[in-house]
Amino acid sequence: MAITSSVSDDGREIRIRIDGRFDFSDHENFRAAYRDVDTSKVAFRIDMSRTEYIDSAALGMLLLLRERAGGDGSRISISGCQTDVRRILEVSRFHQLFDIGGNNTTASVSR
Amino acid sequence: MKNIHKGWFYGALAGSLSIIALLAATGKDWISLLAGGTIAGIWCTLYLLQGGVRAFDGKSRNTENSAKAELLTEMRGVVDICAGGISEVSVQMQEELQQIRLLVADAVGTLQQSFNGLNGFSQTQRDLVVTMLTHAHGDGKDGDVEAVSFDQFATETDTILRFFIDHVVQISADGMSMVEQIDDMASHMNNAENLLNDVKGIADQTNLLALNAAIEAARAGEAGRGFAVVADEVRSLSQRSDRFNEEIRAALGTTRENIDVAKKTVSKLASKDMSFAIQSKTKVDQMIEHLNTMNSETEVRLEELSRIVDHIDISVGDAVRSLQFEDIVTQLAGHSQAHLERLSAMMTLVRDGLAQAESTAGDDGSTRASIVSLKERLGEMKSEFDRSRNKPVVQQSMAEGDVELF
Repeated sequence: MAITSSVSDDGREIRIRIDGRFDFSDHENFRAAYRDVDTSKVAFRIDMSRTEYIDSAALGMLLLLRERAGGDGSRISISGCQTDVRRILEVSRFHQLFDIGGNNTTASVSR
Repeated sequence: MKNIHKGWFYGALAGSLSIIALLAATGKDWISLLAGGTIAGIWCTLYLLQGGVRAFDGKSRNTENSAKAELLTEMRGVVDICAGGISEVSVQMQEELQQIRLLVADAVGTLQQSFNGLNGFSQTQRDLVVTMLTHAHGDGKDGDVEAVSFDQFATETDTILRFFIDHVVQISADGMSMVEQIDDMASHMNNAENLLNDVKGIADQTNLLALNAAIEAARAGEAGRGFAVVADEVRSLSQRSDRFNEEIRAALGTTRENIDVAKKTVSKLASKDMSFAIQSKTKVDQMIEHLNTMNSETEVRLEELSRIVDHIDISVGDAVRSLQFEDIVTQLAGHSQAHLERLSAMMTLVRDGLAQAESTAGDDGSTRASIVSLKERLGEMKSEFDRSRNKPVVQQSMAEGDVELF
């Protein structure tokens, strides 16, 4: 269960938590989290406080989610990134595409 | 004879005083010293002669005449020795002066050449430094490919790295999009397989029906004969349908395998370890910082070098200007030679005057007249000598004036 997702009570926000490695093998589960939802009407909150590693496939999945959720009009926040993950997101300039912050209740920032 | 001794004494005193005076006046110039000493000697001799002439007044004419003639001969002998010594020294000095001029001219020529070379190298060095400084500061907008500035290099490197990273991420995104489509395709194939199962069910059912129909036709005997043929056909149709079904299933299986392979390939394409990006970025940042430090250090050194080149220029200029001393030395040597010539002329005059005085021995009036005339001519010569001596080389220091290199 590397990926767990839940929908908020009002149904407007989908929360996805990724534990451990986030790579190609997660693509089915990650897609399943938003497959049956009208992606343009919900916000996504991705909790990466327990994500230890991401590869380019994971970045590709995040980009696809952004595309499905309406591109520039999408509302996707990524929170709680650990140092290495944050650096990869930065070097890929994801902070220009996503709302990346550490302001997450479940974030356990370990530097 | 007492008066004559007195004359010697005054003459010697006057000569010593003149030497001391000249020593004090000129001091460092050995040519002047020599000339002064000689002049003093001549004055001494003249004074002696005057004293001698005065001493002979009031004596008896005969003894006087022979004594005078003797004295004049002695005088001339002294002057001859003097003149001989002076002319010997004079020749030697002329030779040495000429040697000095040649040596100085030769050395100055070599020095001039080497300083000119030094100046050329210094100019080249300056040009190089200026070029390097321009490159270090250059904005590279003049189309000169080699003049890419450091900032440009840093920006370009960063841009290339970013482009590369973007590219990798974009390929992954495209790959993941492809994987989604492959997954969709796989699920559609599952549906097709389910449909095939249904078709197989129908075929099995039909087969069973055909079998029943054949049994019923056999029971009917002759009347069911035609029906049995139809039942047989239907049965073979169902069997053919079943074979098709199997073939399609096999084809679907192969396709599924192909899809799996495609998915694995895309997976490889899309899954790249992003730590390369972090490492590259860190390395590039370090490199740029290192280069930045190096660049600013180089600039500082170059500016230092430029200042040193300026100093070299100034020093070379000073040195070349100092080489003017050749002119001054040549001029001084020329003056010294002229002094020597005057000295010789003076000695000749004294010799000739004394010879004339000697020839008039016995005739006091003529002797006195020739000695007075010698004195006058010597006086004239000396004042002429003084006039020309008063305009020597004006320049006393090498720092004056400015010389351009050619």
